[in-house]
Amino acid sequence: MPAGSKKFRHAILKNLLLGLIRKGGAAAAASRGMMMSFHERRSAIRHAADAALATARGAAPRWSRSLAAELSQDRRSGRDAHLLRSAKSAASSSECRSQSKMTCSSKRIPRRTLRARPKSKATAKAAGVLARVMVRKRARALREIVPGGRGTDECTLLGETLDYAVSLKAQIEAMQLLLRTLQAPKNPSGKSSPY
Amino acid sequence: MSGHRAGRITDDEISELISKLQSLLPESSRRGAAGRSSASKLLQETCRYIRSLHREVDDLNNRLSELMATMDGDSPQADVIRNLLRLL
Repeated sequence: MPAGSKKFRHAILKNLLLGLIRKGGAAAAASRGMMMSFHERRSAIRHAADAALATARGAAPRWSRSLAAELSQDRRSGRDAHLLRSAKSAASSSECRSQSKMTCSSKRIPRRTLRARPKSKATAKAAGVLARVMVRKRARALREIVPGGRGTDECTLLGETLDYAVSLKAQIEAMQLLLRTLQAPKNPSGKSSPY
Repeated sequence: MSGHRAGRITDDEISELISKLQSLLPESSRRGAAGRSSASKLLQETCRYIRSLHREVDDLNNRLSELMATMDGDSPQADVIRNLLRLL
């Protein structure tokens, strides 16, 4: 399912709703009428939203597998862990492949080439080197915020980032839909579509 | 879009990714070719954009948590959720 389509957005929403129902049931069973704290609810809803996103996107992008793996490590995930397990197993198999290839390439080179350059050729080359350093710095920052970004080369990172950003947008839209539906006044003739 | 490619990614594909990223960003400075300095800018803007998306998710999360004061199956919110599910 490609990111960015209405179908994708609805898949996220559906997964989210199912997840919330499940969590509501689990919470009720566990605490017997005692309400979850705001903090607990927030954590549960966030977990459900991220699980919904990763499940809807599937195991194709690395960020999705990585997110699924992170979420299934959370003990509170309950049945969501079952949904995410298939995504997670895909993550661990490709993890070894990418780590051995990718991580060594990003750090070694710059120092040596800087020293080797004669000072007289300075400005243009130095600007080029600086630009490369800046790009590397920015890429490092990007790696931190895209799930599974560490251990990817810059080219893969670009594609991952694009996919992740579009998918986040869909997650936001799904959550907005839910919010609007919850806020809408009760309509006796049936649901007035918030779409 | 997966990272499963065995070989290298081509220059054309990189250009395509960069222009797609540029069109994603809200106030992208759309220069012609992505020179080195603007590549750094692009990545920086992308970081900012993703961080802003994260903040939006956090905000929605807070608001949903306020609305769903109880997550019990017999709450009015649960009804809304079940009705919405039937539409999907």
